[in-house]
Amino acid sequence: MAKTFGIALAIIALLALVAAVAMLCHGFVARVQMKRYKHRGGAKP
Amino acid sequence: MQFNLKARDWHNWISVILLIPMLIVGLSTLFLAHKKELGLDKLDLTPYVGWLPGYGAAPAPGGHTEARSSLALADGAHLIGTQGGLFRVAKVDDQLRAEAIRELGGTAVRDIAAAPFGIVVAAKNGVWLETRQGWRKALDSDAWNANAMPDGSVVVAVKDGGLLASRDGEAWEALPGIRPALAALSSGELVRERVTLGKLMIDLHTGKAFFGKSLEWIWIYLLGAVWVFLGFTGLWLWWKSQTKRRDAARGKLAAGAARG
Repeated sequence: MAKTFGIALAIIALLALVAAVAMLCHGFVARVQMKRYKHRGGAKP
Repeated sequence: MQFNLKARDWHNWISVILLIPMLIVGLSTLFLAHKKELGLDKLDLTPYVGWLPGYGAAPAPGGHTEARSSLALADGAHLIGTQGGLFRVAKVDDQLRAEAIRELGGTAVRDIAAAPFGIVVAAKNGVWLETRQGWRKALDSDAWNANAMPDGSVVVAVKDGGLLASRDGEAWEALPGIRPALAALSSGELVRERVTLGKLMIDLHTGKAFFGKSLEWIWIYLLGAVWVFLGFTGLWLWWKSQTKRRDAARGKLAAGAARG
C-alpha cells in the first residue's frame, strides 16, 4: 500500500517536472516570438 | 549587445536557469522525509537509471569491491563481502580468482558466518543463506551482523528487529531478554550522543536539532514544500509575463499592419 502510494507520488512529481520543463520551453519560445514581432514592427528588439 | 542587468534581472535569470534543479531538489526532499514509510528503498530502479550521467554504464572499480567481511571455507577458498556484493575467491591454476555471487550482486555484505546448516550472510538487503540448493534470502531485513554460536545456532543483528537467532535458517526468533535488559539501562550508564560541529551542521540542515529524529520530517517538509512552491509560482509568473509581452507585441504588429 505504502509502496503504491510512493510510486503514485513519484509519477505525480515526474509529471510536475515535465510540466515545468514544458512551461519553461514555452516561455522561451514566447520570448523569441516577442522579439521577432517587435523587430518586424520596427521597435528595438 | 548591451548588458545592463539590475538586481531584479539577476534574480529572474538565475531563477529561470536554476529552476529545474531547484524543483528536483524540492520534490525529492519531500520523498526523503518519508523514505522508510513509502518503502522507497524496496523499489529497484537500476535498469531504468543507467542514462543518468552519475550512474554510467559500468560500475566504478575499486570502491564497490572494498572488503568489509570475510570467511575462510573448508576447501581453502574465501568468501569476501564487499560494499557491492559477495565474492568467492579461490585458487585456479595457482592464481587467485574472484567470482561474484550473482544473487548478492550490488548489495553491501556486512558479515558472513558459517553454521552447521549453511553459510549465513548479513547484507543490506536481507539475511541470506547458502545451502546445497544455492543462495536464498532467509530474512527480508537490513542486517548488520551474523554470528555463529557454539550451540550451532546463528544470531543476526537486524535493523529495527534487534538480535534474531535461528537453528536452521528457516525460523528466526528474537533472543529473549536482550531488549528489556538494554531498555532497563539507567541514564547514568548511557553516554550522551557526541555532537561535533560537523554533526551539528548536519542536524541543523536536516532539522534534527530542532525537532528530533522522529519529527525532523516536519522541517524537511516545510523547506521542501516552500522550495517547490516558490519554484512553481516563480515559473508561472515568468511564463505569464513572457506570453503577455509576446501577445502585446503581436497585437501591436497586427494593428500596425491594419493601419496600412
